[in-house]
Amino acid sequence: MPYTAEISRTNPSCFLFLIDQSGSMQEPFGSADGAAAGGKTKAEGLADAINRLLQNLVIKCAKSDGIRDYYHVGVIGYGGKGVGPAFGGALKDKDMVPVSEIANNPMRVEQRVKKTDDGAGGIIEQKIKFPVWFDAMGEGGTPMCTAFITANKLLTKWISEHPNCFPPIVINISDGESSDMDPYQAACDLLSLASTDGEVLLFNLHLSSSKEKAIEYPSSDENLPDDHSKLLYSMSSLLPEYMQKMLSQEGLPVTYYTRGFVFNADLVSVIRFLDIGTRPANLR
Amino acid sequence: MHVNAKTFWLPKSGNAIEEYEDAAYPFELFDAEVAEFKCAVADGATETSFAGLWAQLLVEGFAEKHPLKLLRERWNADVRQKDLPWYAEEKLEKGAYAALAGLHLKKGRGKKNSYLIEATGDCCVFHVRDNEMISSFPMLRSEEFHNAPALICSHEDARVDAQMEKLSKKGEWKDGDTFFLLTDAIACWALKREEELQDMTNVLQNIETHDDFCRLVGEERQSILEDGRAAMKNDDVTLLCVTVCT
Repeated sequence: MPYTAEISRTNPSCFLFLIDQSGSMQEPFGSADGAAAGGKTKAEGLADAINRLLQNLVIKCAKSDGIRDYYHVGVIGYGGKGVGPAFGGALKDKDMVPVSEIANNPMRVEQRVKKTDDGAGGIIEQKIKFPVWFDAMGEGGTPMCTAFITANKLLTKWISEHPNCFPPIVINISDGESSDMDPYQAACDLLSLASTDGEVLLFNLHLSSSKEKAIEYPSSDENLPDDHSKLLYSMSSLLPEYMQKMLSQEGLPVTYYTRGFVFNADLVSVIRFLDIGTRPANLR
Repeated sequence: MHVNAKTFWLPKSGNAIEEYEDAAYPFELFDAEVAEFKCAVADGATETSFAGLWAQLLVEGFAEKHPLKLLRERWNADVRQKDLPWYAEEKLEKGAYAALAGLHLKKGRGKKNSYLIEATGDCCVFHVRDNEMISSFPMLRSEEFHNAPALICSHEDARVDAQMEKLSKKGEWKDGDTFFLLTDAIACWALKREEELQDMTNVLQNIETHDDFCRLVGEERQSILEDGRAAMKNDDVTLLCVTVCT
């Protein structure tokens, strides 16, 4: 049965994030979502979401004796400056990094303010540490096809080194159409990579610049508005059974044909997808 | 009454002994005449930090009747003495979680000898008489096990505490009865074995040494079922066997 391999220090899995860093990412989220994003640009909101996700992954892998390297993580940016690793600081230019290395090498640790319930009907402001590994960036075009080709190279190597791993999960987040080439074939090539436990999972999140409501986890392309959304849908993996269960527990409708795809995603939708997509299936 | 209690345990395959995060009380062989006897097993949740310590405090707390508030204070006092990096400190804020099952045996003043089982989560207690299982608590069947059992948290949290669901069962024990206390992976395997082959009590009662236990767990972790899953999930496993005589 696929997607049941144990994730352990001797048999780690990996996450690879492909992040759009084109010029349009400097625009705000669609107006309704802009409020939820605190007026931030898409690039800033996404950088916060990725940094928060890395922090959560580190904490998930932290045990009393230190960090357990259950995962290796890569963040690849694509935009006007080309396609390449997007970590900053000591991890600059590194493509796949074990979680322990991420834990010990944030670029900086910011103090941020979090508003929380004081338990008596009021709101209190609490200072929290916010480690940053990845800064917001946005300029030039959207070389998504090259990003998929880069992912293919990285994961071909990863799988040859970890042939029995829980299959790598690739999450591509973009607000626009590919500007270099048609990415369909490159995405299909990526999806054909497999460990003994199943094929690579590719999920696509399209970020919203409009007021349109998000279309989350569709089971067909019938209600998708245009060719671009249909293309992204066709390049997204069917959700494996364990993820179908997670979505179902979140109260979302799922079928056997549901794909890991969100169109017109707002920031809340992105954060929810990152949480579900990176939740462990079988951690030892 | 005379009580004999033996604990068998193993960490997950591939993990070191010090990474074992179940707990049992008593952990060493117990063999004595007593008026009453308390024992427990607990399963620290893998995804939480200092879960082994929390499981250990819970089994001792059950045996010594310490209130949960005191156990939480002890856990917090112990872990906060350490100098920790940012991620370990963040993780501490989330607390440790564990499932617990405890058994309290009492010799009756009249004719009836009583027991009380208390359980939160998916650790189980089987009651066996004349080689037959007469009850399983709180889980009755193997399909009841899932990845989100009720757990006890090391932090006071009204929302988590509301879901804690401490279940209890009272009953009567007789001369020569055996109780097995099991953490979830071996409990689930044992119930499935009983559902399919009806020989589980024999298999458990034939475990006399640590080597017997390692052999059984090793074989069942390797044995692959039709659905592709291992017969026994690779998890920390703990089995506490208690035999009581009048």
